[in-house]
Amino acid sequence: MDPFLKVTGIGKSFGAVRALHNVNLLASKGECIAILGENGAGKTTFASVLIGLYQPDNGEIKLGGTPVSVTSPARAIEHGIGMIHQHFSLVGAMTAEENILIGLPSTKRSAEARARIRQLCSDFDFNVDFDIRVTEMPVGMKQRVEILKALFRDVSILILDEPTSVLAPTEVAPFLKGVRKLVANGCLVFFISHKLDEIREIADRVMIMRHGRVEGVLPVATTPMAHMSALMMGEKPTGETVETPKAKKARNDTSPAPDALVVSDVCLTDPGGAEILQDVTLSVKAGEILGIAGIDGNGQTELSEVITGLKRQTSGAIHLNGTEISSASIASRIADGIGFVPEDRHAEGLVLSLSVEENMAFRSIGEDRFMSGGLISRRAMHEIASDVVAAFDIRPPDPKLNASALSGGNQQKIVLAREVARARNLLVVVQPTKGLDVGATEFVQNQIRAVAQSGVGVLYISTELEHVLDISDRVAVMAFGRITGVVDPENTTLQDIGLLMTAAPEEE
Amino acid sequence: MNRFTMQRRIAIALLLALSVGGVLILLDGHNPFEAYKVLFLESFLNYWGFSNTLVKASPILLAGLAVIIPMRAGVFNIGGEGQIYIGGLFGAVFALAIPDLPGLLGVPLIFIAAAGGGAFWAAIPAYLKVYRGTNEVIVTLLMNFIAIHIVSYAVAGPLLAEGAPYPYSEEVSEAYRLPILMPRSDTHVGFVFGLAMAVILYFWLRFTPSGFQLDLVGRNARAAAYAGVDQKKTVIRAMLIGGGLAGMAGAIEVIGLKYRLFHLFSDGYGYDGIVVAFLAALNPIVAPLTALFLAGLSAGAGTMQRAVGVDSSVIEVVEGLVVVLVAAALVTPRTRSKSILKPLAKNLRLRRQTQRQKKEA
Repeated sequence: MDPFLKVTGIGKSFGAVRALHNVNLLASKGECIAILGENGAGKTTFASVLIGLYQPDNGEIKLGGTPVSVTSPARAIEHGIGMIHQHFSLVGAMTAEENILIGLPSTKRSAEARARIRQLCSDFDFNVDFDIRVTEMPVGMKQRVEILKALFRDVSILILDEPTSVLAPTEVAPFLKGVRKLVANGCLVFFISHKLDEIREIADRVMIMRHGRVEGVLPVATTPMAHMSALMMGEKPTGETVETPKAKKARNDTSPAPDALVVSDVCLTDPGGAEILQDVTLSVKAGEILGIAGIDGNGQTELSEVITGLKRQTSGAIHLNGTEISSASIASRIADGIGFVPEDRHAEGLVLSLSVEENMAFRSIGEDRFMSGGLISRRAMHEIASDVVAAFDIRPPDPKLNASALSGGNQQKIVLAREVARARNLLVVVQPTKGLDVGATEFVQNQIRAVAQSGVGVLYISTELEHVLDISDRVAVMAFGRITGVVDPENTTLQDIGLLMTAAPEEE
Repeated sequence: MNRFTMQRRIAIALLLALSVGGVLILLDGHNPFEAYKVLFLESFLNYWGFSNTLVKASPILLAGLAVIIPMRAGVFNIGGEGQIYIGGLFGAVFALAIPDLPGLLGVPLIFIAAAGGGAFWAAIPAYLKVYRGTNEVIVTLLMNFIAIHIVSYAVAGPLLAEGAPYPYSEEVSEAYRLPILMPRSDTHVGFVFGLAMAVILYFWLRFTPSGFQLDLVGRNARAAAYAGVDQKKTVIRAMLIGGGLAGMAGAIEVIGLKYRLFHLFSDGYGYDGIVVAFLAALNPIVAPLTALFLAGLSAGAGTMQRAVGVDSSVIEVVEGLVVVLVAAALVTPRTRSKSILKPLAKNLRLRRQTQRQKKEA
């Protein structure tokens, strides 16, 4: 019997860069194949070829024994191939239903269709609010809408590009359950991920990619994780530079440091009257990493924006090194040495149409190191960026390239490098490891640790609980705009934190 | 998309526009090569023709810069035409009210008055956009008509010259007239002034923090806010500069060419400026070239009609095609990251998407 999907000798180059090299794969219905690889290994390119965003330079794709040429995502849908991207393609001003039905002929937008959407939703235990617009949805719900959109179009091959990186820890298990249900119903699911434990849980086989080649397609059940990891990383050893808990303790036990940041009773009410932040009080000592854990959308992003000045609190005070900065402008907080790695690097942290070196400079452009004789020194900009590109191993190593030409992990490195260099007193990082592979995550974590060791207070906000626990000296948990508890990561259980994360707001 | 590919695409769009124009000339029963040869020889290689081209290029170069600077900050200034009129009015009023200054003092002051007038006219839509959230495209466009009529009123009433058969003002004193660049022609130094402005603006955007930050706002407003740039101030500043540049174009027409304030003195130069700006891919240093090209087209059109017999309206068609095709050249999936061109690209893309959806439905 012919396999359901047969991929033979796929190759794809972008200019001189070989993104895919002789990729072969056989896959059958009712199978979940994880695609594992570092940033830039070719995972997304392979997926893009499958759904017709890119045309392969050579090779062939056969579906059910017949060669198909997928020339566009629309053709891919006709062939029953759908993909959920990391960056969603939803219309913000529309509801879930409108988004799912978009582009369909009006005859198919019947009440029946609407009923089917709800049926799919309950079949897969998806919690979707059908009364609100997409802009008002939390990220996890947007993703569920995207998946429903694909399911509604009867896909038989569904590609999920790092689907859990946007989900809260509590959302992951139900999501994986939903994916298993899809697979049980005969869907072929490609699951692009860096998270070995998830792959272990969900996938039947794992396809490991490195530098555009397939390093192996292995059954998950019988392959040790260490083996997968080694294939993915090549010869690069892993785990070598991770700080041991002991070292972390040692850093902790030095004489009590002064408070770098003190946030007292900060409240934030949005124009609609909703209380986004309620009496948030916390402090970060110089040299300390304070983690903020919590499910996405519980006020963490807004807290980071209030501290860095992008949003103004309704009440409460913020002190930096003992000086009140509650009403200081963003520019003056930048000048005060607050580094900020925002959550959305595409929309906020970077200017994609500018070069890497300009991106390294744009938040510090008036500083002496970028100026000479009152004018911007393009040479200084280039030299500083070249050093950083080398130190952070940003690839491709060309500071003159547009930031848009770099992969997500390398873009994140630009933002991190810039802010680490700027942070003299405080570094606020939000979701710094979102969408990064194992190696890049480790690199980012180490950079942040180094900043803390140099005496800068770090506020580490993330929904990836394990990372927060791993790096933080103390962890504050946020739920519904409040700090529901501060715990010591050494002496706490995931369950305790889970309870704090879902703590219902107290009635007052 | 890097700058090189973008410029190549724009060049292709230009060639296409000229080719379609060529087909029209052919249909009209003439040799397109002959017609274009006459047109370009006349505009660029003939002394009188080139002087004519330079005269036309001066105001549209400044008008182009008046579009480029706001656009780099993400605002679309369609109001160049009105700003030219108000600039011309302010310059003329100053020149006529204080006629006895020496030229070296008077001319700069006239330019400042004109720039102030244009900036004032641009400040209104800028204020409305930043503090009231109105759309600057609509406000700047509609204010053009107001400005044109204000000038018509002024030269038909308070400023009307004695015994004038036509609505125009008295002549400005000789000391205020711009020096002639090419002997025995009308060609004043206006283009050189515009060229200097283009160079200054290019360096300002590239090498000063304030210029760099203005560009940042246009490319990614959220990132600019994150970098501590005051977006409101930057947008207003960009519009004031744009209005000022267009206002100076008005002054050049008054004290460089006609020596009087005429009614309807600007022949759509403000709109030509939009074409100049986009042809130059919003790069100030390229604007002098695109201004010359566009000015050359219209300057040579008349001669082409006389010498080859091709109706000069063909050139108007070519100019229109240039606008459409350059806009099209900037709309590709690859331009998505080129956010300075987004307002234009987005508009066309949205239209294309709705059309496609309609077709599918």
